[in-house]
Parts: sequence; C-alpha cells; structure tokens
Amino acid sequence: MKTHVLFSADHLSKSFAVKVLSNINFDLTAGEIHGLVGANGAGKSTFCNIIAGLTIADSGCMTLDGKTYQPRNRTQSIQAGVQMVHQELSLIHHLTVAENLFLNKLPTRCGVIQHRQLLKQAAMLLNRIGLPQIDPDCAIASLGAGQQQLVEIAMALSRQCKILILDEPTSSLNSIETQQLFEWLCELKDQGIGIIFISHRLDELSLITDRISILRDGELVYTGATDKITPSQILDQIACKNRKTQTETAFKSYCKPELALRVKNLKVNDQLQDISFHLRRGERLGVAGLMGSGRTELLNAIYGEVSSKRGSIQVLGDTMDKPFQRPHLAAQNGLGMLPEDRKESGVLLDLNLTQNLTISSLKKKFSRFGITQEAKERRVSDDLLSELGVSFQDQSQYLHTLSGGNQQKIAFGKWLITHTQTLLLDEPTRGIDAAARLSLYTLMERFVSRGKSIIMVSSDLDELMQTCDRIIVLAEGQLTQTFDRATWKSEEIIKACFANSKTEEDPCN
Amino acid sequence: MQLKTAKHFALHHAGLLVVLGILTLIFGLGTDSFFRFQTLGVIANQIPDLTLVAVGMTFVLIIRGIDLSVGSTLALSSAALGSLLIDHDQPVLLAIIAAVLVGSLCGAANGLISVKANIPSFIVTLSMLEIARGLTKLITNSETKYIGSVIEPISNPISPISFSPAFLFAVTVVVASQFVLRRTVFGRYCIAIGTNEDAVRLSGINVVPYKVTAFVLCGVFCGIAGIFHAAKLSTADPNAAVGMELSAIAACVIGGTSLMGGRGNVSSTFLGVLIIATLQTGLATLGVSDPIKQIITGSVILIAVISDALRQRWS
Repeated sequence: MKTHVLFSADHLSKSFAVKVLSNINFDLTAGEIHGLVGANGAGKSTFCNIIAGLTIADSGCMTLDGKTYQPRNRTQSIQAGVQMVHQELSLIHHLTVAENLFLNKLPTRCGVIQHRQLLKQAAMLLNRIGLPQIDPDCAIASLGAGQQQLVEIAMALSRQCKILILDEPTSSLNSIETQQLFEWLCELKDQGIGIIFISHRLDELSLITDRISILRDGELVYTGATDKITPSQILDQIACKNRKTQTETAFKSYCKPELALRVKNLKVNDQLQDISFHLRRGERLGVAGLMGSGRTELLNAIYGEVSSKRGSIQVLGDTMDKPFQRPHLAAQNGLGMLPEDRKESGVLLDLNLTQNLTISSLKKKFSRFGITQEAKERRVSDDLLSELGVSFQDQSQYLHTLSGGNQQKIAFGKWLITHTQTLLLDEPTRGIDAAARLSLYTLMERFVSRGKSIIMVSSDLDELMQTCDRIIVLAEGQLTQTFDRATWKSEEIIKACFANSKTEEDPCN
Repeated sequence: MQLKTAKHFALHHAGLLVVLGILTLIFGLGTDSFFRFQTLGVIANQIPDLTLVAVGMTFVLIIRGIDLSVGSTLALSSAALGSLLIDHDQPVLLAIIAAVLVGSLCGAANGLISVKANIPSFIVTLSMLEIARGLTKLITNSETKYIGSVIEPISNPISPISFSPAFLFAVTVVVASQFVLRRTVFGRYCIAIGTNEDAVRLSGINVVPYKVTAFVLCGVFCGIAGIFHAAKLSTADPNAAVGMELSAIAACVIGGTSLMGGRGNVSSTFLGVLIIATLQTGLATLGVSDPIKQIITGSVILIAVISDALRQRWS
C-alpha cells in the first residue's frame, strides 16, 4: 500500500450552539478505505460536511495533496476532487440514469440535448466504473434503492475524484448489492482514491476498511488499523463503557396464548401474495426478507396505507375482518406504526417534543370541547420523556434538534399514551447508534410485557434474532417460512430469504 | 418553556409593528392630513373585508393549500345578498344568512374536491375563481346593483369610537381565529398537517375533515366579507374584489405565513393587512399616481418576504 498522505486535518474544531467537534487530527492516505464510526451526534456528519465544504470549521486547518485546503462551499470542494455521497439520495426520479449522470454537462447542440450521444457517454461511464448492468436509458424511479445508491456513487466518480466520502452507503443495500459495492470499492482503492466510509455496521467495517477512526462526543478517541481492534472493542469505544456482550443477554418471552391479530390470505396487487400469519399477545414477531421482498408493503397493508388489497385482517376480539382502508381506522382499532422513513413520514421535525408526543392522542386525552389542555400535555410528556430516556433540554425545542435515536424514541413514545395494542415497526433502528438501539429494544420489551404485541421489519437479522419470539420470512411477496426462537438457525433464515415461489403453511393456522 | 415561544412571537410581531410605525411616520411627516384621527377611522373601515378573507387564507395556507377563489366567492356572496334584498324583497337577516351560506358552499366545494379527489387546491380554486365569478355575473346580469341604506349601518362608524360594526367584528374574528389556531385541536392539526401530512396520517389521524374544514372556514369568512363589501359600497358589484386573492396572500406573506404550509399566525396576518391598508391610504394622501402606488406596494411585499427569509436563516 502506498503511504502517500492524501488528506489531513489538524486540530479541527467546530461549534454550533455547543461544541460539535474539538481538536480533530485525522489523515487519509491514498488508496485507503478509512472507516468512521460513532454514535449519532458524535460529529461524523459535521466532520464530513467540513471536508466537503458544506460547513466551515471554526479553527484548525486541512491539507489536500500537501496543499492547504480551505473549501468555502461545495463547488470548491468538488473542484478540488472531494466527492460526497449522502445517505439520503439526491437523484432526480423522473429523469433517466444518463440524464442524472450528466445533469450538469448535458451534450447539447443549440440547446437541444443530443440524446444518442448522451446515452453513449453514460454507457461508457457506467462501463468504466464497473456498472455495465445498469441501463442508462431507464428512469431512476424504476431502479431499486440499492441500484440507485450505486448510480449515486457513479455520479460522484464521474467527476474528478481524489476523496470519496460515503455516508452509510449500505443502509439501503441487500447483501448481494453490498458485496458488489465492496468489490467496486476495492477497485477504486487500487486507483489511489482515498475513501472515508461511514457505517454503523461493525461487521462491514472490519471487512472492508484498512483503518478505523472512532468519534465520541466530538472527539476522535481512536484511530488505528482495522485488524488491531475487535468489533466489541469498537462498540466499547463508541459507547465508552464496558458492555456485556449483548447477544448473550437472556431473552425473556412475554408471549401469551391469546391471539392479538390474524392476517389471512392478504393480497396487494402483485406485491404481496396470499400472506397468512397470526400474532399473539405479548409477542414480538420479526419480519425478515431482502429489499423489495414486500416487507414494508406488508406493514403498510395491515395499517391501511395501501388501499387496493384483498384478504382479511382480524384484530383481537374484533368481529370485523376486512382490511383497514385508511390508517386512522387501523389506529382506532389499536394499531400503531413507525414507518421506515422516519424523517419523511415518521415524525414532525418542525413541531416541538410535546406536540410530537401528543399528536396521536390530542383529541381524546388532551382536549376539552376541542380546546387543547397544554398544562396536561406538558405534565404527561414530561413523564413520558424521562420514561423514554430521551436526552433533551426543553420540551418546547423543535424535534429536528434531537439526534435520530432520540427522535425515534419520541415516535415510539407517542403510541404509549394511546390505546394501541399492536405496534408495526418498520426498520426502527436504521441509522441509529448502538446505545439508542439498545434502549429502543428495552422500550419494546416493556411494551410487550404489558400484553401488547409488536411486528417488526428489519434488514438486520441479528437484531431480529436478538429481540423477537418468532420470525417470518418474506421472499418476492410470499411468506416462505416461519421460525421459532427455540429452533431457528441464522443460516436457515438467510436461506429462506433467498427462497422464492415456495410457500409454506403457517403451522399455527 | 412558554416564555421562549412567547418571546419569539413578540419579536416577530415587533418587527411588523416597527414597519407599520415607520410607514405611519413617513406619511405623517410627508402630508399635513395623515396625522388625523379620521385617517385611522378611514383605514379601519376600509379593511374588514380584506381582513376576513386574509384570515381565511391564513388557515388554508397553513395546511399547505391555497384558495385563489376568495375574490370571486366574496363577489358571489354579495351578489346573492343584493339579489335577495332588491330583486326578491327578502328580509335582511335572511339575505345575510344566504350570503354566508353561499360562501361556505364555495369553500366546501373547494375543500371536498381538492382533498377527496387529491387534486392540488391551486387548480380546484382556480376553477372556482372562474365559476363563482360567472355565477355572480349571471345573478346580477353583469350590472351593479344598488342596495341602498338597508345594510349601510354595518359599515358606518359608530359615533363615539369612529369604528364600524364590521371592523369590530373583523377584529373579533382575528382574536378568535388566533385562539383557534393556537389553542384548539383543529388548529394544532392544521399546523401539523402543513408541516408533514404523511406523518400526521401515519400517526392515525384522519386528515380529511381538518383540511376540508380549513377551506370551509375560508369560504365562510369570504361570505361575511361579501356582506361587508356590499355594505361599504352600498352596492353588489359583479366585478367586486377582482384580484383580492393576491392582496390576501400578500397580507399573509407579509405577516410571515409560509406558502409551504405549517407556519403562520392570524394576528400577524392582521398586521400584514394593516401595513397594506396604511400604505394604500398613505400613498393616496400623498397624491401618488396609481402605477407608482402599485410599484411601491409590490416592493414592500418583496422586502417583507426577503427580511422574513433572512430572519428564518439567522434564527
């Protein structure tokens, strides 16, 4: 490996209202994949934003290729060869791959786009960077999330690129796509590009990175070769406490014999076929499956977010068994939901903490004759915030000032003051740091210990195996298999995820 | 914690009040006649209709909608009033009720069609703008109807205070609407829907009735504004309030209401109305010509929006 230092940061500091980064010394060599980990709010994003010119540091200096590097904005950093791929995709959905790739330099003649030339250029680019399988003429919207992520990275590479910053690039990829991305990153590494790789997935970090830097509360607490540190040591550094190995913590089941929910022959267009399963009171049911297997669609269909569906959904003690047509009908019948995209549809970022917590129960519990009872709201949310373990300064602060983990706790908390009996959680811990993740698990456990139930979708199989009583597996819109805690093996569950067009009867039905 | 919000609220209003003060000062020093008590009365009695329409618009903008039909709805309701009073010799009370009903029906149509069929309210209310104006001309035969003294008391100043019943009613509506917006379930959900409708829906709330109600409320206020407008001019004019939707939106925007939904206050919209009215009256007193008046009004709106955007960025 070359040891040429490509980029360095020296005593970098930044404060907004509080100190976000203090005295960061960091370097990146050419042809290196440098992992960056830390809890949410540890300063990873701020650090990367400074490198990418989106934020300007208060003090400290940076060098790029031995020269002083002080980007004042994104344009300057792009010209200097620093490319950043955000977690949130920034592609234009209605345009084609080729149009997105060359958006700022479309081949034109008298202002008219030269379509054929554009396609040729795009195909050449995709070929060169190792993505020949993507059709440059298809619309971005028609690609899966994983492929969109690859196109996004391709876009960054189409410009002059010395440093590539990837912010959780694998969070929306399935394992095959992740594998493909990793192979691709290794090629880029050989070309001498320095890659900063942010991820919460420790197994990935130990697999792909050469060195790892750990941020904690704005300080760089560790930098060193990846093979010198174990994942559990990394976790210790992130959380700064000597944790017990979490997978060994005893699982306690609260599952009762009575049924909470029964889904029978649920069909949604061509996305879900003939899904039947049941949920018991006090049970945590995991839903595993690859991206696009219909996991999110299943939760949406149960919650009434999808209108065209057939089959039956029966809620505890209810005689009506038609699927809910709208979410508020599902909520009236004791269902609650935490959607996959927290910021887009899970929480209200521009309302305060109290208003977010009481949103679902405002009319029933916090109003008289339509007038809100704010004192009561504050009292209840005060108790709830401490029960949830949210770290906050003031109930009236806007939700967007909290970290992702704390936001998710609030999204969870709003259902605790309703009569909700069953919660549908769609990727509840995505993009959330390890500590907040554990406290969410605790909240879930407390919830089911009161005889309530949870259905949880997650891409992280370890997470499902750690928290669930039972796991059902979806593949290509079908329920392929059901696993019980007593007998499950992770290899078998993974195999079931890849199985298709094989239907197994739910043994309990 | 209440303090923080209250402080923010006061600060925002203080900014608008400063603008209002500066305008008053300029006009006061620039003319001999502006600093008279009558001027206050003139302005106060000129704005009840615009105030009501702008308050209704504020609710619609907060839920991330828009109502372009307010001017036509106002005209239709005053035409209904005039027609019932003059052509059909109906009692005043009945005519007033009918006028309000006409406004609420227009609002309900806007709300139900745009929310239920999920069509942008811009398009639906643009169609309503044409339809209601057409109906107005049909009812009045495209002629201005003289109504006379029956309804004039509504907008005649009451002697000791020099404010008209219409103005006092409008102020009451402003206070009540501000309360509704900030202290009721309906108001809270309007704001929440404006910031993120998907999140509200997935929180298990049926957003349809709240959104429709915002449009109906706007329609009702337009209906009442139609009565005030007719009373002010003693006529039902088929071309009344053409372009009023733009003045109403301008008042909201000057008051800091966001066209992207979720942000706005009725009280600051009222200050926006006052700023526009002061500007109009003051420029008239100065003897400024119409084209120049328009240019200045446009510039003031622009400055208000830019300073609001800057303020947002700084905070």
